[in-house]
Amino acid sequence: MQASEERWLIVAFLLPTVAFMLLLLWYPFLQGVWMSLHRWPFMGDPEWRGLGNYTAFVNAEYFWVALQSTLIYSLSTVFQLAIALVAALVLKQRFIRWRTLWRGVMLVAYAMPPVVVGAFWLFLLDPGLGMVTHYLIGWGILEEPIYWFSDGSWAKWIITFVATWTFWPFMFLILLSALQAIPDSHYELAEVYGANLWQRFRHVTLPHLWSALLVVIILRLAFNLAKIDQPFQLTGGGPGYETSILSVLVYRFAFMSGDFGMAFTVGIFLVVFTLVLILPFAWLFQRQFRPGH
Amino acid sequence: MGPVGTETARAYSRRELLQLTASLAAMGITTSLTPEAIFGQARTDLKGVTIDYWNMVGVQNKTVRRLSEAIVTAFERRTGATVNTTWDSYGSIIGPKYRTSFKGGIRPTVFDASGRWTGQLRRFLRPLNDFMEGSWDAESREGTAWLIPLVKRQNQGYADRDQIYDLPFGLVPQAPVLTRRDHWEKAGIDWERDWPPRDSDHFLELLGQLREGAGVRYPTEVYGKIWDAGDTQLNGWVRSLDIETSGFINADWSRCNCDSPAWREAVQFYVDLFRKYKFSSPNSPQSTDEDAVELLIRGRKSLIHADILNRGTLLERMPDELRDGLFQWAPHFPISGGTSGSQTFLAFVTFHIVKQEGPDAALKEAAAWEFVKEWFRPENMIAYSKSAGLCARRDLWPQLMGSPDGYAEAVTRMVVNPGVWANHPKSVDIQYNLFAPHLQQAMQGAPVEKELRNYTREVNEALRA
Repeated sequence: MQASEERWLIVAFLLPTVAFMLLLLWYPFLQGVWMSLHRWPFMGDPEWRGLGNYTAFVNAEYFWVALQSTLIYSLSTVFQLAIALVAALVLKQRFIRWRTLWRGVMLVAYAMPPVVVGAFWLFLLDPGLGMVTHYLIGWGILEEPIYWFSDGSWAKWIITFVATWTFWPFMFLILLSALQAIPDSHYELAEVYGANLWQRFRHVTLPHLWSALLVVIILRLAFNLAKIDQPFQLTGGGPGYETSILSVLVYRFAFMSGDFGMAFTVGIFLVVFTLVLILPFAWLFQRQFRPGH
Repeated sequence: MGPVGTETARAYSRRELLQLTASLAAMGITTSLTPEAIFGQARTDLKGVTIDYWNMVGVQNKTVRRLSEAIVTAFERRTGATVNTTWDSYGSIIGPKYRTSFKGGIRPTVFDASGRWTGQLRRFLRPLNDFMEGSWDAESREGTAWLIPLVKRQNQGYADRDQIYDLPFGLVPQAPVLTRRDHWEKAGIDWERDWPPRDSDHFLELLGQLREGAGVRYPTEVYGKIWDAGDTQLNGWVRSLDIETSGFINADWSRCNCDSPAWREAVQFYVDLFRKYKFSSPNSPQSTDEDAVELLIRGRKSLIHADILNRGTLLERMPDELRDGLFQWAPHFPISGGTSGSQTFLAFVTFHIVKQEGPDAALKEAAAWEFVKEWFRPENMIAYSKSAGLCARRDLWPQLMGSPDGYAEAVTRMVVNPGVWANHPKSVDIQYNLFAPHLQQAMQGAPVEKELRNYTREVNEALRA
């Protein structure tokens, strides 16, 4: 009797979440899949196209350009991780003074809305007015300004760089928390046994940090690939389609062209692309909890 | 009720009104906002009626914004109506805001836009023919009558093309030439002989001289930014070569024109100005005429094409230099060998009244029409022309002539057999969203012919859909 009551209680607790998932996640997702099989104009009646949108997208001249820029943009996760890990490890060191101050300084970029950070970098990198160009020319590194946002080969790296600068503190925060949870006694013991810096990192820090690393990689990959506002603000997806990462293409189709069928088609590609990148890390994360690991 | 974020036009005190009038008058811009008109008896009683006005033209510069505010206030004082004004931008109608708002039921009573962008909203709009024929002063009606065939041509793909949904009050001939006269002197170019540029060969020659003599590395600019790529000087160059295929789509809206020889030649010249001759800056794939005007003001450009709407910026920033004739406007010119006799596309700044529902629908629509009429008053038309282009009323053009920068002479000379862009429901997509990436690709080095072919295919697919 008690077990049955508990079961009902569990069901009651789960119901809101399940309802939320069904109504606000799975229903819109399945509706999106359905719409991707249609020509679905913003104003007007939908028309069945089967896989027409998918073949049109794969055969479009911008398909590989968009995929390449998405891949480059996803690298910002790697750059964010590298910066965050180094910063967290440095701030963990006992000899660092004013650690609270440094922690605050490092979080500044993440505390600002991404469009503010975007506007800031638009100004800094402006070839005519920006300080970056001014100093690079002043120091003799450049002979003439680089038009970062107008040259496709630069633009995709610049949006990646700005994303890195904006979002690395998120990783830093989580990694630092995980690092601070490692007892000092572990390091002291390792030192007693003669472990050098690398060995202490490899055998003490990394195993304790592993879960946090996987979590931040998974989260930031998903968040980065869904970013629209900042890359769109910086380049509008251009020049051409050079910085039209898949999420920006979704926006371009949905809200600029009013073609929801094509927008959801690109959206499905984005889901698959994200899953392909995330699944290995998710598998590694799950594996930790299996017996023997 | 206006949408969230609506900025309501506030009531002005007599003192504030006089200050506003004085500041506009100081710039040579008078409006209907004269104390006599404001504080005299209202001509039309619309007390208790509220209309929502979405203003787009005010985004162009502060002078036009102040002019819009003044006209709204004058109308409120004259009629007793209340106008809730939302200050908007071109991006809202080119982008998703207007169509999503309209579809979601958030609509103004009246709004201004550009006639070629409103096909997507046509089913929400009210035809204006009955107002224009029955309740409009003869001067305004006759002064704008010459435009009606052009408006119908712009809408020729619709079965109800004779219904006027878009009433032009401003004209933007695309795109006159703007220069700094001091650069000509510095470069030793004979102004009397060489101004204005005659054709593309002459243009190249002048740019070369300006670069060498005036020391301006990139004396002109071609624009790749999405809103300006297919909207400034390029289309006029296509038209100078061939009127028939100069629009993005053909006369019956069944196919795209942009794989024509005229398009190939004009786009190639456009790209060459940037890539081959290097007269345009490396920023070209993302640049706009507003950026170029800013650089012209700073002396870092010499001879550019600029939308006449930028005149307000010059008025704001360089009033003395404008008065001294430092800046000079001239008509657009043909590609060498282009003998079509027209090198202009004429964009309209238009008023639209949205179909109203409910018991007071007719009253609101009538109030909206009264508000539209306010803009056509001679003093407002002239004030608008001085800060943002050319007014629709041709009978008032003589009053615009004689300005030191010669803007009115330049733009009125351009309005000869002009092209008009089709107001197709997908015109925003065709003219901006689909076109700009291809032009930008060509500016990055992709073959012009290939990009135009791909663009044509995309537009044809969109038209078929």
